[in-house]
Amino acid sequence: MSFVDAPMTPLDEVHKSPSRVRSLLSFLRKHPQAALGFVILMLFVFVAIFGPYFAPYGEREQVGPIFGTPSGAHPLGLDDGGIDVLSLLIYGARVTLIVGFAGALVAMLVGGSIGIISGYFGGKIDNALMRTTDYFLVLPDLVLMIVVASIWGRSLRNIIIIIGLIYWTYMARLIRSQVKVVRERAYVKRAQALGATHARIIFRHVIPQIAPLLLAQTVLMVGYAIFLETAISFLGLGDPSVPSWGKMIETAFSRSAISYGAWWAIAPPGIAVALVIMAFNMVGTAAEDSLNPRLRVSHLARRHFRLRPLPDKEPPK
Amino acid sequence: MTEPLLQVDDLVVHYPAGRKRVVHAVDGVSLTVAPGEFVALVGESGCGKTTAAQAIMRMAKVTAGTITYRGRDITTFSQRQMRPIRHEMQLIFQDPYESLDPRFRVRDTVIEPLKIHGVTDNREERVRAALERAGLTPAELYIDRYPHELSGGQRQRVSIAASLVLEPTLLLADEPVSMLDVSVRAGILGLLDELRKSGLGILMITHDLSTAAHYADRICVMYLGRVVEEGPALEVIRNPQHPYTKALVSVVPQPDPDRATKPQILQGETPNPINIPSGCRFHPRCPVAEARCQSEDPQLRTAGGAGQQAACLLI
Repeated sequence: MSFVDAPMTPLDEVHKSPSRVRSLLSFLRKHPQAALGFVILMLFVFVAIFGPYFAPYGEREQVGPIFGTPSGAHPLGLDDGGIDVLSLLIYGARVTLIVGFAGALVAMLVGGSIGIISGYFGGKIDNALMRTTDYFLVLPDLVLMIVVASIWGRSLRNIIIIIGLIYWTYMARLIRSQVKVVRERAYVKRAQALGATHARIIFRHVIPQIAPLLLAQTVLMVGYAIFLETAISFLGLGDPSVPSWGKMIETAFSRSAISYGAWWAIAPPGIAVALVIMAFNMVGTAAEDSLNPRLRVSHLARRHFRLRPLPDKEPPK
Repeated sequence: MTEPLLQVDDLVVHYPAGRKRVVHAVDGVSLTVAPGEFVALVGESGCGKTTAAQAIMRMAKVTAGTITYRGRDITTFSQRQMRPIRHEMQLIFQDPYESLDPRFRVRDTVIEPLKIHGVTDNREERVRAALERAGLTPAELYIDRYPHELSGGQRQRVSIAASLVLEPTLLLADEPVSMLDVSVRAGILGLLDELRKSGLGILMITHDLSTAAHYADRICVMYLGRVVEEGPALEVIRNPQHPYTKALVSVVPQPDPDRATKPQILQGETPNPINIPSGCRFHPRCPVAEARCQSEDPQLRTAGGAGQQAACLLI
């Protein structure tokens, strides 16, 4: 048997699959909003990492009068303790982003593994896990947050756990539905026919297939996690020992910054939170659009609507 | 005849369909495959061919009956006990577009069975040999490609190479050519035929009687979960005994117009496998059915030429 059914071009002439960097660049070019979000994110990540090196003042250092107005030395003014708001904002970026990423990571790990196990094994395991998920899904987020924070105490670690606890359900459901699709693919059946172990099939065939979706969802989730962190801190359930944007808003609010007219103590952290969440959303939805197979069904997609041109002639009456 | 590689006796696979109903997917199938023998399992869509193959591979739950592989009853083997059997018994899937992992290069796909079964020596050579045995020569041209860079026929050859790499003794091919262009089919079937000549037992599932007639040694005709006729391929085609086989044979186009017979089109649809007709399960569509066909269930018995069997009350 030497004939094959189609002539083959030598391998080096075949179009090589694009490198990761190049595919990221082409993705950003196709989704300009994702590019904008990406730039904003990079800016905040830079501040979070290197901020402490260029923050003008310390995070606990009283450098002027309470609620001092913005000036040349303090462009964003001073807060209720006479601390420089710009410096606090810079220090807070680190905490806020860490909580966001770690919370999303917890949600991804817990939700992802439960989704994979549930979707892959099906049957009774699926039923048990999904009923548990439903149970967590109907728990009101805010109440759960307050209860857990007051029982376990106010610390950064607990906030991260709470965020994971609230968001893993969404991840689990989404991943489960995708795993159920992948599980029925013939190449998974084939691995089973070959006698491959479940672990092997999950790690070699299932996870690589759903990884892009998992990634896109995690990016989206970081934004939600930051939102939740701000909310928790604003309710006074945040870690009292570290500066975060939510805590800045909370202290300014509780020390009646508004009645002093000190808008500069509330607005900058609020705007920063809004910007970061927006940036994560821009990147995440674009990634989701191109990676979530469900959204490729056109009527569910957020983008790429195309109206069909109207027929030239009048429709018959 | 030598000891059969695979012997299936009265295989039954039932699925629950809710509300105490049962799908009789496979309802008493018996067949044997000897080394170097090419057996075709022929039947309409939905008659239980694929389920039978999956049950033989122990991927579908066997309700009753026995599956014997090389004298060992594997019907009740645990998945762990099945592992060495899966080394020797390989399944080729119908759809070459689905059965290869799109993220795996050809090398990864073909090497995977070796990894699963812990074969560590000469992996690269084994992969190359399997590819070339499957007709993908030279192997260098294909080994680093992804499935989307290959044509349907080439993918099916990769799939076959992945089955051959463990040097199996029995191949179950589930409609290996039905998704392929007609021009490519002959190549794949010729490949299976060559493998048969080198001593493999092949059980091919197909709905194409003319393909079966051309390549198979023996043909089993299935209708609604049961084998209704079985025998040497030529006998079954030239001298069909069961009315269902006669109808199938009559619709195969004849190259010689003088010999063409009037095609006999069966009335109605295949009955729902949840509600199997009483008596002979073919009687509602049978052109020659009598009153007793509604109550008596025929068993396979010798009819026609040597080694031929049919399950019909009227022969």
